Amino acid sequence: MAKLKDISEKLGLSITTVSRVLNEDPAFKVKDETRKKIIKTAHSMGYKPTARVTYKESVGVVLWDQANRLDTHPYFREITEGITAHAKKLKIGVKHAFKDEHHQFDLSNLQGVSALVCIGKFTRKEISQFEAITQTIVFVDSSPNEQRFSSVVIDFKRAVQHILDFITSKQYQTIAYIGGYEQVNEQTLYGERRKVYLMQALKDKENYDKDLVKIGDFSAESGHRLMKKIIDKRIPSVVFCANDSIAFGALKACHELHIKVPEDMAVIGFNDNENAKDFSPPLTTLHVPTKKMGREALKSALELKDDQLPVKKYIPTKIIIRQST
Amino acid sequence: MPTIKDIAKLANVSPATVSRVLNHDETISVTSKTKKRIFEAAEKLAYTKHRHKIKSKQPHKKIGIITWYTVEKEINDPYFISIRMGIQREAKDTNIEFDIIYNDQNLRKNLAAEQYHGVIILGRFSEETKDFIESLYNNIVYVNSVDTRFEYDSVYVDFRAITKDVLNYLIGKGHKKIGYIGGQEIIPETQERNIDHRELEFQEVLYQHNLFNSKYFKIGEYAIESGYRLINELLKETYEDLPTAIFCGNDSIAIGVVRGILEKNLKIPDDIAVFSVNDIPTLQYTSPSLSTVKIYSEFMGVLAVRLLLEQINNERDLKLTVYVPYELVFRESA
Repeated sequence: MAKLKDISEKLGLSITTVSRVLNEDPAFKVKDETRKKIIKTAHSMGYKPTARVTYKESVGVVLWDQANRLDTHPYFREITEGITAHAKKLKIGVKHAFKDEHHQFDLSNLQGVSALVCIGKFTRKEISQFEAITQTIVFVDSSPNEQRFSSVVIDFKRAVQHILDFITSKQYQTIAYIGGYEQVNEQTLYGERRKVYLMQALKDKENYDKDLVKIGDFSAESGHRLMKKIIDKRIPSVVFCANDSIAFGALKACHELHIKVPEDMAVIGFNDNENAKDFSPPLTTLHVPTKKMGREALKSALELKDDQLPVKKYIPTKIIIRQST
Repeated sequence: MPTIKDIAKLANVSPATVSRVLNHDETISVTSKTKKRIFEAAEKLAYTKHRHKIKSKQPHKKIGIITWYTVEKEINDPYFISIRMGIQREAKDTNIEFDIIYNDQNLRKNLAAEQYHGVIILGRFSEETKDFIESLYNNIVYVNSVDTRFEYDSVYVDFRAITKDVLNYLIGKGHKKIGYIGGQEIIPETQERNIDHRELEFQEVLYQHNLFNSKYFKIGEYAIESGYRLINELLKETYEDLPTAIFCGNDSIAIGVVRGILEKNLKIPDDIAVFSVNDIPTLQYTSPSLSTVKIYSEFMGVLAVRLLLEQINNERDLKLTVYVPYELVFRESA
């Protein structure tokens, strides 16, 4: 019978890589192609995993595409960690599903799960696929159907309000915003929620300046590029970034252009990723309790199974003040 | 589905009495206590389909249920009775003791006298009263009012989404003359008026569709008599151009509205369709039966206890705002 060593030697990969793929470690990033190759080889060589703990009950976790991008990854990874940590405490198994080479979800691993936690945004077609596995579904970061599925979300309107209140308290005069659109799939672009609420609030205050509002994607690269574009026109008092990765890129641009943060310009992020406090300077940002969201999501899944009534849980956020403002 | 006979048996009254009370027949003379018993019996019997999971017992815990109503006023709002019963049911299932504290002059005295592990606040109170309660207790869950300070848990229902769904249904059926008869939630101590999401969303949606007509829009109280009075006003004022549908702020209003429409020999839904919100179990007994939105109000009570217990047992430090689901129920009136 084949062992991990045999497989890794045959493919020319490290044992760690092979092991983590075959053990479905969700935090392990590897090319889809490679993953496929490993699984195929393992199968053809008759590899059988060592007896794993069989749990009485298992919950499936599905992450949307964007979770695989290194930039937006921290947010979704932290939510997943919250789920797996709590599952461990409750002695419940967690099974993960990924997309195959055709960009379709391969849910074969999820047979027998008592509930699904789906993190991110999904198309109607994908949701139908999930329903074929189980009707007990909790969505995190979206709520596609509040009368059928539970959801765990943050209140974007309030979050933006927190930030605006902070901006007002610091008396920043010109406000810039760097946001991002999220791609659900090739056809569907998900609207920019923070921007909607921010625009509403700024228009009310007649503070809206088109040159200072730029939308790209949620990457540091996008933040970097768009920050430079904004600074080209003028240096705002503060730039509010739709997530910490964008803020990271914005900070990089400031360093390159010798703009001192916070003295010349303040920067505010969103999420409070684990590394936000290590940015240079440490980032003022909106804290989203991601691990706790994961925990609440798992709780919601188990509750939904019993109650048979979906609920929508709003998670509170708060602003963490550091040295970038 | 429970019959009038079942309710009569449980409430220990005659079926005739049950029928008259559930149809809000004002000519009947029964005590408030009896009326309350009848509504509670109807409520109890309606909530039969939920599986009773064995719940972990929580001995030696006591909670206070603070309601903004007096005993008298609560009878006019079966919706709140049902929330309270959800709380009581969950408390009983988990072996928690509870006290119901009504909103009378002894409220503060009663609260200060007892040592509760936590309290559930049902309804709207003034900031002053809330401050007082918050000074006494750390473990609090607000029900049917979003804690605007987000320092505590809340359980709520999305009235905006409900209104939107009902209006989309009515507009989808071809109605172009849609009226609204709503109420106001007044905080007893200060007489301040609360923002009403149904009222706001109704206007917003109809404006968006270019269908808003102020002649069809009336606000009064969340009470049968108000619904009755306002529909009479509306019908009189618009008799040459009657609305074809009315959305009522709650079931009490709807009962008054239905009575007013039928008295004028108009047909429901053929002349005027009526859609309501709340779906207290008694609505299936009215004639015509009311189309309405079922809010899982008992479940709100159950969730409140669950959330409070998590706080009492220090299982969670995150404060949550939880929204319960609703369902449009299509009966005879729309």
